[in-house]
Amino acid sequence: MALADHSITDKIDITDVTCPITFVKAKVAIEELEEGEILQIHLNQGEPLENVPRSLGEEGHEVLEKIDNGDGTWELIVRRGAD
Amino acid sequence: MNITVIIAASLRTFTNRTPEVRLQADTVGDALQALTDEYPEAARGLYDENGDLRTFVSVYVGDRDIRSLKGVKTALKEGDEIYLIPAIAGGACESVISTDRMKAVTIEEKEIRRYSNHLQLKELSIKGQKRIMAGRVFIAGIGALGGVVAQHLAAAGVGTIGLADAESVSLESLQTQTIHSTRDVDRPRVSSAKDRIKKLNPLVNTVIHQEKLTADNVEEVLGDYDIVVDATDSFVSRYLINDACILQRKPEVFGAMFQMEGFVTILGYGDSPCLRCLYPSPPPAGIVPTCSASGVMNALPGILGAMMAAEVIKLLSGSGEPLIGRMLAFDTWNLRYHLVHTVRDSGCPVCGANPSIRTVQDMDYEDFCGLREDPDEEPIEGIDPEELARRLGNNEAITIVDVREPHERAIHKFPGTLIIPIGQLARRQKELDPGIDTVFVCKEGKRSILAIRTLREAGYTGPMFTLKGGFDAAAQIIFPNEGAWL
Repeated sequence: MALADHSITDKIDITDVTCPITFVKAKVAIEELEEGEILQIHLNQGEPLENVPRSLGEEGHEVLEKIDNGDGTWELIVRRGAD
Repeated sequence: MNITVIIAASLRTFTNRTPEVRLQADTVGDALQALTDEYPEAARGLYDENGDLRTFVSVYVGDRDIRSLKGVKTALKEGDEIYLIPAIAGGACESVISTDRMKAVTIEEKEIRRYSNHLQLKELSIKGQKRIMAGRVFIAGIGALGGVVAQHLAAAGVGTIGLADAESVSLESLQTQTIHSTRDVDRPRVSSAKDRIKKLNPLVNTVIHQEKLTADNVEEVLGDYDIVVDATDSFVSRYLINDACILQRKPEVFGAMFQMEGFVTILGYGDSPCLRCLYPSPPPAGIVPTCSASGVMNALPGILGAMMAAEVIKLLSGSGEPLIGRMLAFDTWNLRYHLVHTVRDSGCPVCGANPSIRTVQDMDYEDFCGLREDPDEEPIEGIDPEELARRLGNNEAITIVDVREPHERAIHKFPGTLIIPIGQLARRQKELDPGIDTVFVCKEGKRSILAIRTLREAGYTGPMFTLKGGFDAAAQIIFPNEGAWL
């Protein structure tokens, strides 16, 4: 699937911060959404790409897709879970 | 073996409300068997359908959980006490902050970093932190305990913190009052604390009340705060704050300390009792020494104040298990602690079924705490330090009795005095000369009044005076060339 296949509700960029603020910013952004809505997260390869999807999964959100931008950054597509 | 089984309040439905059962047993298993023989209903509370001890009931022999001993096979000795304490007493609570107020808070960019520790925690997370940010917390008494609570709550990001205290920072309080600095000596405590909070977290709104809480102002001052923290050190203020919180339906986080010991609990919220349920009346005035006469180990307020702050955080966020219906008592010096159950009194005059106190104006708190002078009692005469210094300078015949404790006298001696502890006064009254004036000295001028009353009751008829303001007031006047606290 490509980016255009998702109905994105909100986007955030967490390439300017490091752990744990990466996760905290993603968490704050996704909790602002309603259940089922989609967040697109622009993040760096490496530690953020390894940890942020896993941590959001543990919080009950669903990672739908990881898209490689080819420049060391990725787009993470996450659906907000229930409270 | 003669054994006592102590049953926690929430398990007493199975024992006809009996709090304590005495029985004969050699092991914990025997004791529980004897208990269920006497109270068959108790078996339902203690055992599951397989006959195993339920996991939510903890069984202690003394202060040891039988899980760390030999379970039900643990041997007992004569006089042992077995405690049955349900592990999940108290339970989770709802947040004191409504969902609407929580939703009205937005977490901005600068707050994400500042509050990232709480935001990372599953137990608090975004909703919990928003509730903390929406919260309005009032702290009565900004001394050692209140100062610690204020700093933790400010750093946590509590929206509004109210600070109430009428006193100023003193040099001798700096060892325990870590919110204040050396340069703050003689400044009002509330001003000093407000500055500290602003440095710690400028996003917090601080409201200061530089006044003593009284029956006339307490309702207005507590206004729309969500939670009240009682960190005061007098019985008058504690009962006043307790009653006001019950009448205004505000949860109160209560902490008290004495030397090495601390106590913390939540009063008047959910199933919690209020202060009057726990202690229907204060001890008579003068029996319990004030903090200044007894000292506090300086790390204690840090521990206790942080625990009180944690209780506030739990009440605001509506998560965790706050000390509702339970009180933590701990001894920092010997590292012992007890989590005891606290029970509401249905006959309580303020939170019971038929309360007699319906407004704080109904009460005379000074009188209730034994501080109002009895009009029928002969008044006690005082002498100013200046007058005493003059009479000593003239070599007048005068007896000075120092009733301070040995550790207080060690800090600063009062030469030429007769040293008689209050407890020995009646017995040693013949050492006094009823033909001349006798002046009684303590640290602040309160225990010296008690000393004079004690001697009057013992039949002493000579003239007696209390040194006004005690040694604290006299040191600079009578010994001007010495440091007050060497």
